[in-house]
Amino acid sequence: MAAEATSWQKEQVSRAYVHALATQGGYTICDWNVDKDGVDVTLRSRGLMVDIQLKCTQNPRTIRSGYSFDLDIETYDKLRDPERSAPGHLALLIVPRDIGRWVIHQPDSIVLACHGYWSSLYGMEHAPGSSTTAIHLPEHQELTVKAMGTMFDAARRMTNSAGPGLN
Amino acid sequence: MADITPDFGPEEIRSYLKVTGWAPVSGGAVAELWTLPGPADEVVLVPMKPGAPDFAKRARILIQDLSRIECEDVQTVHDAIATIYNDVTDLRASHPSMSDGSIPLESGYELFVSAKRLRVASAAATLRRQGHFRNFPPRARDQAREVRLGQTRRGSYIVPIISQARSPEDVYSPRQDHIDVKIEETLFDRRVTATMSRALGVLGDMAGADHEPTPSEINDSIGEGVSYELCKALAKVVNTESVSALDVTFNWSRVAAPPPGTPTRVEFNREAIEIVDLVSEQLKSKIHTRNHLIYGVVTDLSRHPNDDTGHVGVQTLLQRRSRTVWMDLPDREYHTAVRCHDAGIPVRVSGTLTSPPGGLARMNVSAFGPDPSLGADN
Repeated sequence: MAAEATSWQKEQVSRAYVHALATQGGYTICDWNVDKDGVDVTLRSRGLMVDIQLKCTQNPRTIRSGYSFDLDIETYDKLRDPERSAPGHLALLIVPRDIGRWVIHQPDSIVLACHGYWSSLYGMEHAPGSSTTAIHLPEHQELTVKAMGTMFDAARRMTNSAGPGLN
Repeated sequence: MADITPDFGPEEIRSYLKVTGWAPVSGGAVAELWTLPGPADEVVLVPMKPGAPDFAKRARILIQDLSRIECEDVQTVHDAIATIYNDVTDLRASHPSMSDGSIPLESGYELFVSAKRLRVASAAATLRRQGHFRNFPPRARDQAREVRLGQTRRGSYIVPIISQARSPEDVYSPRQDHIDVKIEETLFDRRVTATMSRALGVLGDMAGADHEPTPSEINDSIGEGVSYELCKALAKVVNTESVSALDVTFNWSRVAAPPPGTPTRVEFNREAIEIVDLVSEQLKSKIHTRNHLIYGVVTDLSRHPNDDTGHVGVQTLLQRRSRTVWMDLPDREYHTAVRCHDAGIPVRVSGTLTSPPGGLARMNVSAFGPDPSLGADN
């Protein structure tokens, strides 16, 4: 039976995954430190920002058409807050049960054997529960460079409602 | 990430960016993007909702960005934004023996008390020009309660007095037809600091001149805000055993242009205080005269074609309530009133004021012009 990875190992592999995608997309990263606003990583692109709360699991809970993750209400409320100046997201990284298979060495490459899904929480409704709420991560919302571009499109819309020429 | 808790809101950020050359490129209710024209093509995000859970983080990122772009440390940038609407007057006590930045308790006490006395005397002179007040107007005492004390700084012993400042360009518009009480209160803070700066500058000039001040010069200094009480406040500090000199530095807010003709730094050593004492003695024995000052906007103008004078209404604060003061102005001053009205420039009027309860407030004017405290007469 495969051993359960520690939380710091999951955290670091999640960051490596996001770091690799952000690098390819030309996005910079700031704020890796654990923060009080429910965010693990902030991506930046020409002033715009995107916040992501990273979760990693070896045992994903599958539901029809995707995955489900129980997020604590406190974090959920911070990420969905409509007054945020950058959109908040949840990203779920799924890693192999066997930690020995997380990173696969090949003659000309290293393969990071994990895949991720994301969900935008910005502006979502108040959760009915008091401790956790189930977040749906659709299987078509894979965490890719293109997905990061979609997140930045949302961030751009948040700064575009008045258009140029402010006082 | 700098471990700093931002102590300001979106308005301070926007004002700071504006005065440092940034311009907004786009914006919504929750965030704005600002750019700094130049080869680096920098863009920063300004969070607009102080209550949002990510406001502090966004502000910290902004401070860090500005720190990198301006090559300043983060604390300096933070303080510059946090005090963007403030005038900071530094009272610095020095003595050759004061090497470790500490000060004897008694001298420190005198410095703090004198800071308040200087402020009250300046506030009183902002309301009325008098050589010797004896009893300060209540508004002058209230004003000294509203200014704040910054953290003292080591090196020499510095007491920073923090007062509000506001750019008149942001609050007055051409043909302004009323005043805003809250804004007028803020502008009063700036006017008091301007009075203090001018008065101390005049005293400094008299102390540094190659002759003792003449009675006429002393009389004129009243018009700049010098009073017996201001002189005594200065003398009290410098005459304590462990203070050999006091210098006062005015750090004007970057959102409001410095009042024209005000010095940024004035120093008083023991020698200078001898002259200040001389001035104060003459002011104490001077016949009691008073000259009221009002500040506000011109709201009413009328003159018939053949009249020598024009009838002018200036809306102002009298005892912290909005009132219109009526006055008759000769040709030149009337034209000045028209110009100030059309351009939205606040005015300062001195003279003898009568304001019976329930009756019309009137002023017999001795001087009328743009308010020199605000630097708005461009």
